[in-house]
Amino acid sequence: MRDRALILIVDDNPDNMDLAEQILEDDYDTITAESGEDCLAIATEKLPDLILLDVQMPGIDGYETLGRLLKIDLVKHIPVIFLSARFRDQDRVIRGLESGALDYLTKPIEDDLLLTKVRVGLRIKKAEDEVREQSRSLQLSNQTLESFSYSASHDLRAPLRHICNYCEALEEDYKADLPEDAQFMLSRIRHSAASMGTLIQDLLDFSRSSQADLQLHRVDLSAIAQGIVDDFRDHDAEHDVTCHIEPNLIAPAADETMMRVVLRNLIDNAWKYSHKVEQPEICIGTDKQAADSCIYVRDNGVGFDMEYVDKLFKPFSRLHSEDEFEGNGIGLATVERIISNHGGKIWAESAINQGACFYFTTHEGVNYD
Amino acid sequence: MTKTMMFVDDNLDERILIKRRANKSGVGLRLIESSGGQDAIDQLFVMKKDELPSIILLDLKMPKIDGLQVLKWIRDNKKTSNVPVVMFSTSDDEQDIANSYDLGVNSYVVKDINHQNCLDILCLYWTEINEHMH
Repeated sequence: MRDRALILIVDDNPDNMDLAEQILEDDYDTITAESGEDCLAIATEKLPDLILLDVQMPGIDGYETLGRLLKIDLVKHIPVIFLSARFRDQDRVIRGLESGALDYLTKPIEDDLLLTKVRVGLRIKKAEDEVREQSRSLQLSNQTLESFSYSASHDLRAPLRHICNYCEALEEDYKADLPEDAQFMLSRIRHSAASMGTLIQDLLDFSRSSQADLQLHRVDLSAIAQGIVDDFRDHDAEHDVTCHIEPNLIAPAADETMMRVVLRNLIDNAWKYSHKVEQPEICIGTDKQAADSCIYVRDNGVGFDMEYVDKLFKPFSRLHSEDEFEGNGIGLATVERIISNHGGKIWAESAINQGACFYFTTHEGVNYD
Repeated sequence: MTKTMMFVDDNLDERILIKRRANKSGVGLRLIESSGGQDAIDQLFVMKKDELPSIILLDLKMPKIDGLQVLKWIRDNKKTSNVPVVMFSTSDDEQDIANSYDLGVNSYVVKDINHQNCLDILCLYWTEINEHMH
């Protein structure tokens, strides 16, 4: 940070330039440029805190110079005040401000007005610099944290897989030699390892869900949902769930991998919480009654108390005990993050023992009909 | 003719479990174990052409010389360039997968926590390639 702010004065007329320098020299350091081209070179080299830019110059004029300044990352944040010879009409002033100038002054220059506008300009620049610096360091620490949790989760998988595989090996090779309670303990080790595996996968999904670079395409949600339901049926054949999936549910612009995570979690929930009812049913479709078009995933399971609806999408918060229903409370948090990353919304309705219904949109104003 | 599989992994547990699974596969494999990238290259270097493994199972992430470097060595070397190589890794990173295929891997299999039979799949795959080759 400099002790005195550095002002770059750009004017093709030496008299105007001298005048501006005289006014500013008590409070600021000044440098000068005689043309737009000079201005670009000097600004990039000296990085002034503010630029006074004449509009009418031979060669590239003030507007063009500003346009080029704004394309250079190094200097695009430097505030520019236009100096124009005559105040011809409102349009020119507006054009100046719209092209990215902070302010404008008309010649002949008035001392007080110039000093005030420069002071304000510098104050704005300082505030903007601070905000930029803060958000940059926030972003950096966020990224560090995300990539840490990603690698931690990822690296936890290998030793866990070994535990699972050794248990399997023990069961396969020595089952006959093990007393019954030892076999039971072994099965509990496998069970714990399996839930840790799910937890790690969910954490990985959660940490991936904040990735900014979504690949937006037309996504067939019905096909994805059908695939997931088939998968669940394969793995949990005893749980006989009737599933209705409306065909041709299309999200016009969504990330397919992320949508798979969303649907997998919502269907997993519906599947899990309908486990204890007699004729479990899951419906996936669009809500035509709702004011805004949205997709729903509905079950007729145990439901939840709407009093706790706020806790639903918070990471690690659960509305049921581990004994009643297995889970780690990350799934819906991940879903919420993915949906809001897409610019959509998610909400839920339920009552105890009357099923639950989750609604979501993949972006604002989308129509699924 | 006995079929030979070389497996390269820096993790002891991984090697124990791969060995066990391979022995149980029923394919009657002869196994060559290698504990790292340099070791794999050293072993392959001294082998005569008819001693080379029928397939190499290669871990991707290893210290010093990693799976990609071993793969590159195998493909760049006239003697070994045609040996089928399967990358066997915990990473499902698209870049890792793309890099492996760019360097000429025959298949890329993600070691998944719930996927304990991937080695069986590999054996099947390997049988298929061998049928193609003969």
